[in-house]
Amino acid sequence: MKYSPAELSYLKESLKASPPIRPDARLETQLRPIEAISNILPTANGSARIRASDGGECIVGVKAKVVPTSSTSELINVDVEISGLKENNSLASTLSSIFQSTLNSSQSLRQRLKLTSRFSFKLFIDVLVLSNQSHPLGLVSLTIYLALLSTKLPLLTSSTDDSKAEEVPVFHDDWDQARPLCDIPVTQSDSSKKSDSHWTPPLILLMAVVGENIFIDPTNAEEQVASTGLFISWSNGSISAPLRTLDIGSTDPQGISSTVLSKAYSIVEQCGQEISDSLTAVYVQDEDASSSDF
Amino acid sequence: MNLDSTFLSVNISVSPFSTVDRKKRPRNDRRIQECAMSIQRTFQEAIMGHLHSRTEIVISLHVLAQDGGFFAACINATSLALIDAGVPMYDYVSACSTALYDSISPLLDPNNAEESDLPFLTVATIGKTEKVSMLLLESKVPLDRLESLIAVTISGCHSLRDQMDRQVRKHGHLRITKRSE
Amino acid sequence: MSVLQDRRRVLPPVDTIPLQFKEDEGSSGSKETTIARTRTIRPIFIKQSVVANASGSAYLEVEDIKLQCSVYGPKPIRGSFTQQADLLVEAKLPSLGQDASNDKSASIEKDITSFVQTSITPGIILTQYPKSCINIMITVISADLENRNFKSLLAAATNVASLALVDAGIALYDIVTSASVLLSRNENGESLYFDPETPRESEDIEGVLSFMTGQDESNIVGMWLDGENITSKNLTTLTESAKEAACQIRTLFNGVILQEFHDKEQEASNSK
Repeated sequence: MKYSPAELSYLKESLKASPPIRPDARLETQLRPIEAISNILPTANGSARIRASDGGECIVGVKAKVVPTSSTSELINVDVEISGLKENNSLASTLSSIFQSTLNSSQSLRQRLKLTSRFSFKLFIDVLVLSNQSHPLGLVSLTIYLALLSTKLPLLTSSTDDSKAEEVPVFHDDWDQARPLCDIPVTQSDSSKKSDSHWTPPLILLMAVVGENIFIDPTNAEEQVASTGLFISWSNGSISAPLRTLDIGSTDPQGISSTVLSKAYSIVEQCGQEISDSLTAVYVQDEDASSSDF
Repeated sequence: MNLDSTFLSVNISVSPFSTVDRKKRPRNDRRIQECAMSIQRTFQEAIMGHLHSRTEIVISLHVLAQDGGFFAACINATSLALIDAGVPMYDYVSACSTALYDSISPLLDPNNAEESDLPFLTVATIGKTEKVSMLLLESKVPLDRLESLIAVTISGCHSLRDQMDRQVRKHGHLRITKRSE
Repeated sequence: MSVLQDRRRVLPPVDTIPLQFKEDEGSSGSKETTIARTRTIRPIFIKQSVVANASGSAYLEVEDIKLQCSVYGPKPIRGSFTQQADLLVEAKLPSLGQDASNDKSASIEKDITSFVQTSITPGIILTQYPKSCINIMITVISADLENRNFKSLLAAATNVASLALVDAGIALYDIVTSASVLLSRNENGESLYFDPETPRESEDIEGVLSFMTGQDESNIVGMWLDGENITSKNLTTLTESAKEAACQIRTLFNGVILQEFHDKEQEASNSK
């Protein structure tokens, strides 16, 4: 949607105001309503679909494959496809590379995918963006998070030590015995006493900076008047890599001050837990519903 | 391009996670292109194109999971989506596939494993008629069995048409009650 | 397959392993030099106007990183009217075929492109050039992507693009300079390095930030930090120190640009 200079200026002024006024009357730290469901694909190890209120929709499927650990340097492969755009489109490949490097840099995820001394699981995360009005980074991140939460890997029954004799891993036949990839943080009180092995997927939050104000989950109109886009990753209760600025199609890009940067930092610190908790709740609810079916 | 009618363009994208083994298919895969072409031709006949001349309808199909009956499912989904979009059509286009087991007995709606071992054909009909609007057969079938195979498939198509009609009516009812509230 | 075997030569046994030489003892010294040099940047070689048929160009060299950037435009575009210039950045890696697959180098190219684009766009007065486009081509002539710090390459790419823009005479708000920093964290505490050579280790935080150092406020135009558990204090330290390094680079650039300008002026007056 293209706006006239007058409309853009009006929008910019209201977003710059203190307190800012967003066109949809949201708080600065409030996400748009989403409709989320996990475990929708029977042929994938984990999957999720999220619909945004502006009509954006994203489907993620996670599949695992046993590979010899030495044959590959990257155990996670992320592939983003945006409906209506070419296959090697720059937006799609930027998104793929952001998520691929973020997930591959997680040591504990690599540890979790390790099967034996020779073999590991390799995860293929395929993202399909069916439609998007605003920048799809935030939507894709939420969907990947939910899909990874619902990912289950078959239980290994052969021995874990095959350093002496190579042995092809054998798995339990019963899918009910499969172990979840992530630890599900049940309640907030639980998250305080988490152990080192505790791991939940990283969550990348996209923000738009307008003047001194920061807006989480910007709409297309807000992106156009933003100084710059900014994304910060939140994982396991702390801020992690990557923290990056991103071109989100603003008409008048500008620099940001370091105070804005610290403000963005504290915003993510504030809402990271809340967002991940609500997605976890979605997953737990879906899981309960599917187990009561049988 | 025929300017007196509506132009249909069909895109099919098959997700890498749709099958048991992950496989990335290029978008210009020959088989998928062919499939899109057949769907376009089938629906060109089924819609009342003359009502909206010089227009285009874009149909995007995303295959998220598949286990046999790929082509038939694409046609049925397109049919329902066109109805949801309010595109005027003569009747439902319903499709179904049948495999031939042991060169004698027909198997309705084969899955992936059956499709890979047995010869099978896909038929689409418009409405509850015996009129075949599309027939796809890519393997060898004895000629004397063909007729019975087509007959079984058509009856499958008819029962699918009823199913679809029931769902569409249910959906329509839901939308009307929502509007009147 | 046996038909395709080379029968003209005597082949070695199937399980032969190619001869490998031991690492040279001297090569491990690079880490030590990193530690010796903390709050200074490596020496940079810069030259402007290296490509004759481009509107502006620059060459930059920092040890093994060799970059060339050319700017074409502003050129008029066909079609509809646009309020401001379209900026198009493109990065190219050497296609020497020796390392990694095409896929990987394509994704690195995209990373460079997106970082440079976000960094330099705020510096250009795009509204000066309605209905036109500016193309920026960055060619990576040499860079060790495996063992050297990628963030330093990103910083160098941004810097060379800035210089080329100045050379092209494109209207700028300010010259964008970019600097990479590495915060090393271990039991002994934290230590900070400017312009790191080696990639980060597990506990470290590395990053690259671009600044418009001429402005007092709102001067961060690009940022990319990597590392786990980044505290807000870390964030402040990294931004402050990157700004210091960027200022050092800016001082250097100012000198070079003024000198080049001076030389050109002299040349012009001589030819008269």
